[in-house]
Amino acid sequence: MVKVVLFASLKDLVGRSEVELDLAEEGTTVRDVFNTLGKQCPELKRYESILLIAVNQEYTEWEQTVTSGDEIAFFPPVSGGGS
Amino acid sequence: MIRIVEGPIDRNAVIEEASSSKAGAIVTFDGVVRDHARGKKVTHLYYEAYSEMAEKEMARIREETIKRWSLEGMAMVHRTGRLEIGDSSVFIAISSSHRTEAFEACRFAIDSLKTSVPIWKKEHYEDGEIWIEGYGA
Repeated sequence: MVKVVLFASLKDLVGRSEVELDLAEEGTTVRDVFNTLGKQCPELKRYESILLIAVNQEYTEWEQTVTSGDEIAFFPPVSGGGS
Repeated sequence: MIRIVEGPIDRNAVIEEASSSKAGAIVTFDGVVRDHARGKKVTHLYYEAYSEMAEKEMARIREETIKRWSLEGMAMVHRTGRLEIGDSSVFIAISSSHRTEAFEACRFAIDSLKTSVPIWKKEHYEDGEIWIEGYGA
């Protein structure tokens, strides 16, 4: 089981801030997790090219493998701060 | 001091935290909510953070900035939730022996925060609202 956390427009799109997913097999990557989520919410797919990803609160790449208990975050480019 | 807060930012506390008897200069950056954007009147903003990761990223930026400019002190606070016009959304205080380093470091710190710290803002207008996402927003 992994926990996926979503923020800003992605959270609105999926309608939830957290989703728990079963890990299908060894060697599952962040991309696999995203694709699984995409089956539940097809509109997510068009965000794929701009999304930032983090595993356990560290920025990472799509091909990183995940293990049970990991927290995986998908989010749009950030816009915090002031002007 | 690195912190994500839900209420008003205590600017003086942030400056106090960054102060040092070795410093000859303190430079601050105060990001405030303005009343317009994209040609529209802004009524208020809403900031959302991935708090645990945001604090980690802010700590990383702080370490990097202190090291690169040999600073005497640095503190950074970001506010989340609903903010009204004129409220501070982010406040940074930096102290160094001389002003040149403090000015440069402060610029670097806010620019880094805006590109890598996972915090998003939603602009609310009189006729709707929109998430502002992406660099340069």
